[in-house]
Amino acid sequence: MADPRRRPLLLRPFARDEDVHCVVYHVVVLLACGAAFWIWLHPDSAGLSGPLAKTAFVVAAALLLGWISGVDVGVNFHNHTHRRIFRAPWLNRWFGRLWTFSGGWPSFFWEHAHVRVHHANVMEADDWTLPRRRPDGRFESVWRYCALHWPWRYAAHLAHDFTTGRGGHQVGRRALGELIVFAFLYSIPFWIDVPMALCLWVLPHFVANCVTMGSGMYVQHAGGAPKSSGARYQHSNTFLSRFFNLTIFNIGYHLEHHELPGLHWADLPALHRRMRATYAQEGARVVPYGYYRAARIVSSVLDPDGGYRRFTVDDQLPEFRRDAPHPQREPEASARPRLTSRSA
Amino acid sequence: MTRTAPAPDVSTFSACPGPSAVGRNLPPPAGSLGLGQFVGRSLFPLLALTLILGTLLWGPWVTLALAVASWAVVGRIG
Repeated sequence: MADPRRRPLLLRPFARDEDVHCVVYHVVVLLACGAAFWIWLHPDSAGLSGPLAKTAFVVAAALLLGWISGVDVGVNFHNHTHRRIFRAPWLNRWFGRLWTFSGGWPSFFWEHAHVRVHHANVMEADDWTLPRRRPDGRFESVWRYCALHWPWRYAAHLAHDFTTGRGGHQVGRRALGELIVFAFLYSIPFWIDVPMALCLWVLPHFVANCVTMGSGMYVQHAGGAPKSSGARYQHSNTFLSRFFNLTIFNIGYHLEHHELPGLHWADLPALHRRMRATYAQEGARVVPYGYYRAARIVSSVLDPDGGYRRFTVDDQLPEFRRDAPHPQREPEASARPRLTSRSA
Repeated sequence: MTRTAPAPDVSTFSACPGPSAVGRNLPPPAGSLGLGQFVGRSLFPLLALTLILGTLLWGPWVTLALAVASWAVVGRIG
């Protein structure tokens, strides 16, 4: 690490220079929320003259704010849970709290669900953050998952975890304290204007959690298999779209992320390059696009089974498919049964 | 069934979160704070902020149309 004393003053609080981008992202999200609130409170300045015009603005703002606040928590804060962006612990704790309230989450709750539940048990039975399985091993419908998971399943599982001590000593007490801090921060828009808070605060958080984060969680692991099945590198999907990874903190390198969660997000492409031959030999799950397109494919209304199969089977890059010819592959390896959820 | 996958060669990567491991093995990517990456990584919130503030200029219906178009375009290319 570079000597902190030789870095520009503004960068010294950060663990790495690239982490400035995380703060900028979050600040712009808050500015966007503030801009929407201001327009709501000054309707004449933006032509919100009647209920129809106001509805159009609310729908637009819900789509935009839900999109970016979902990424802000599900990707941006997510990186912080694995690798703190500041050097000072108190700054990490408080910025974390200010990071997730604008996505509808207490930071401690999201970190518990992601790190202690999801990462520690990815694709296993104890990983309640992921979609439930159908009898044939496939994930439940993405529509069902997005509709039922947040906040209903999350609330039930989190309450169970915090009352039974999953997460460590006095986890319930800490969760209660964090919930109080969150309730205070989350209520701020309600003090200003209750209808505004419902339309431009709660509704975008519904989009952020049910659409943005829900579909993201779904495609990150759809079609995969846990390590306990013997499939070493099939627990997560990797997405290679350059545009997607540039604009979303390299979260598309999801297999790489689960293999080394502590690796900084800026280093994930380098890990992918280093591991690419091994992944190809082991039949990792890799597609050429990003989450957004993947979510559009698996959410096909007219042909849901076809969409799921296209994403989990047909669109997998041939270089990584276990049934594809590969010069380094041992002959008996190709004769092994495919160990994906399709055959689980 | 147990597979015999070769162990990943990640010896030069730091696997532990925390300040002591920060960036100790890899140089920062070139231009990590460049304007292109700066704007690129914040592209979507900047777009959202622009569209929301743009309501002051072009009204709510155009904002709605642009928001829906943004979702549709990114759903195809992203």
